[in-house]
Amino acid sequence: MSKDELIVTIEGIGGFRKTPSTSIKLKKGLSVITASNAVGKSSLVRALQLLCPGNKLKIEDMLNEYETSGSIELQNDQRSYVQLLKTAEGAVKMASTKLMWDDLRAINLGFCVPNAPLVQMIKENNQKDFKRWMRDISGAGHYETAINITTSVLRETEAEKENIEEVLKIGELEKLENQILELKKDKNEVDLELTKAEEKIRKLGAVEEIKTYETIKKELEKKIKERNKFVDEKNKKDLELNRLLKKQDQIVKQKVGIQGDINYLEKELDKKKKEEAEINKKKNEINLQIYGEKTGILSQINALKTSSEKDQLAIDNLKAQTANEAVIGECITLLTRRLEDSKIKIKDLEEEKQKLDKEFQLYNSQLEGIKQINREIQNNHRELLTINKESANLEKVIPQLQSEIAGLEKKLSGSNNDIGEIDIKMKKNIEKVQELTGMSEDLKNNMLNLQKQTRKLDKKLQELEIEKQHRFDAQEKYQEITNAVDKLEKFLNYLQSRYDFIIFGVSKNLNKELNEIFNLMAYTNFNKINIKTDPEIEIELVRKDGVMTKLSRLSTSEQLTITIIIMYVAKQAYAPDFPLFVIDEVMGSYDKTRFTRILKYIQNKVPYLVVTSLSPLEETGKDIVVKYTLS
Amino acid sequence: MELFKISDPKNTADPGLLELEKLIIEMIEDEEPIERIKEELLNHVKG
Repeated sequence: MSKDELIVTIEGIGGFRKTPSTSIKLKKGLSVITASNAVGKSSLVRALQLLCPGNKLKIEDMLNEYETSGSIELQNDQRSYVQLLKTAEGAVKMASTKLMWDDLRAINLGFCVPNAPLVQMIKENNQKDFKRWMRDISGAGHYETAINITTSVLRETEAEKENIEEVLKIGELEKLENQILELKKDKNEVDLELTKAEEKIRKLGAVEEIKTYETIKKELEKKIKERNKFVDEKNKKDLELNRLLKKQDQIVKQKVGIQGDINYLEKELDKKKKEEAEINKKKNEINLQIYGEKTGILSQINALKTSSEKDQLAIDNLKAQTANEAVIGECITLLTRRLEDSKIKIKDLEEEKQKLDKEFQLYNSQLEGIKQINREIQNNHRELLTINKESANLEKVIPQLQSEIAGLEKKLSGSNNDIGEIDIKMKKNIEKVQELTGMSEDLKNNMLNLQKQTRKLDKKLQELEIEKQHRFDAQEKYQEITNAVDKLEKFLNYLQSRYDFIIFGVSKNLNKELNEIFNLMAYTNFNKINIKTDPEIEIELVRKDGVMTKLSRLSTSEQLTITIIIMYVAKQAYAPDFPLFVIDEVMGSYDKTRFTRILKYIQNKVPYLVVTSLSPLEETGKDIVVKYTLS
Repeated sequence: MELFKISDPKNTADPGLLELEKLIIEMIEDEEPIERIKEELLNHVKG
């Protein structure tokens, strides 16, 4: 393949089947693709558009209706660009291995086809859309945004710079440094005087005496601490002793009380024992009485029962006999009465027996009271035994505690003596210290003043150092902000000049070439065509008489011619590297002469000028024919 | 192709400016939020 050739291979797109694939050779300069209607001229143009990102083509409309996948490949001597189309499970997908052009300007400026946006704008004289189109293809819109953003950032940074200037108060840093130097000098002088004062005090010997005083004081404090410890310990022991003595008293009292109770109970017991003897005696008597009476009563009851039975039997016999009824009746009455008497007597005897039983029970309960007293006495004895044990224990502990207290009192006395001696020593020392201190009072005051002064100077110095650091930081930041403002200003100027170049610079050159081609068209009624940028971007068409005319007033043929010219010059200005400039034959079909003039003008100015053309009637066939000259 | 008589400022610009231009224009093309672009611009000029 020559370096001046491009091979376009199409499979399964538009009117092209996958097998066999179709290859078309494009040559540098002009390539005229000629074919009859419905052979695939427009499919070829649209397939080429598929290689450009930003195209609005629908893939499902692009595939051949009998194919499920397709591709277009553009190949030169160095590389190849492929766009694949395929359906997968009913969905149409597009995938590409290489993209030909990474800018949507290619689709806007490389393809002069009936549905190109520029065609519509010129047809309707839509200057507003034309302005937008110019901003898009030139990239000026992005520069406008960049200018606005940079201006805003610049303003904010300048405001920040002003704030720092306020804080910094340029020129004051030097003053501050001088102030710090002065202060340091003052401080050195004060430090020197302070050293001298300390030396004088040292010579007086007060320091040594003060040191001795401090040692004695420490010793005294130690002794006092020790004594306080003894006192604390003794107080605790005293408290414990008092508690135990109180307890002992309580126990003695308790003992007396319990003993009294025992005595009383024993006396009571004696009495009760006598009573018990009486009761027992009486009980025995009653017992005997009851027994006798009971026996008597029982025998009486038995005798009565026996006689009653006999009487009953006699009555029954008598009732059975038929002897003298009167006598018998008397006998029966007599016996019946006797029987009734016997029953009454039995009842009386039984009541008496119950009475005796009750009396006997009463005696028994009295005897129970005596047993209770006995139990109480035993309890008291047990309690007395416990108290006696506790009392014996206290009698051991108390003397021991008393001896410990005596030991502590002895220690306390020794400690007090020591404290007394140290106190005397300290008083002597204090007198000496006071004497020496009195002598060095002025020196000390002076020293204190100097120390105070040093502290003040240190504080001030510290504050100034912090202030200095702040100033340094602010100065650094100020420098940084100043640099940033400079850079932003430079960047803003650059963006502005780029914007001006893109819109005004380019349009100036663009108009020059636009009119060059326009003049070739040899219009008799138009003078010139311009793309204006001031005050607004718009297309301006001027008649020979100087009157402006609206694009919508032009004939369709004139509109199409102007569209091709504008698109070509815009491509040259904004997408000069895009290798193709494709004109669909419909675009030139109204004015063959002017169309030919345009092609002649541009065929050697774009790398590959591709024009589709309808075959003459005599050449109709199913093949695509490519010619490389205008004939 | 020498098409223009008026020269493009890009041809004589400082490389730093070109780098910044590329960065900012790409961010605008990618429709990054304005605040993010401002931040990036500020970082660039302060850095």
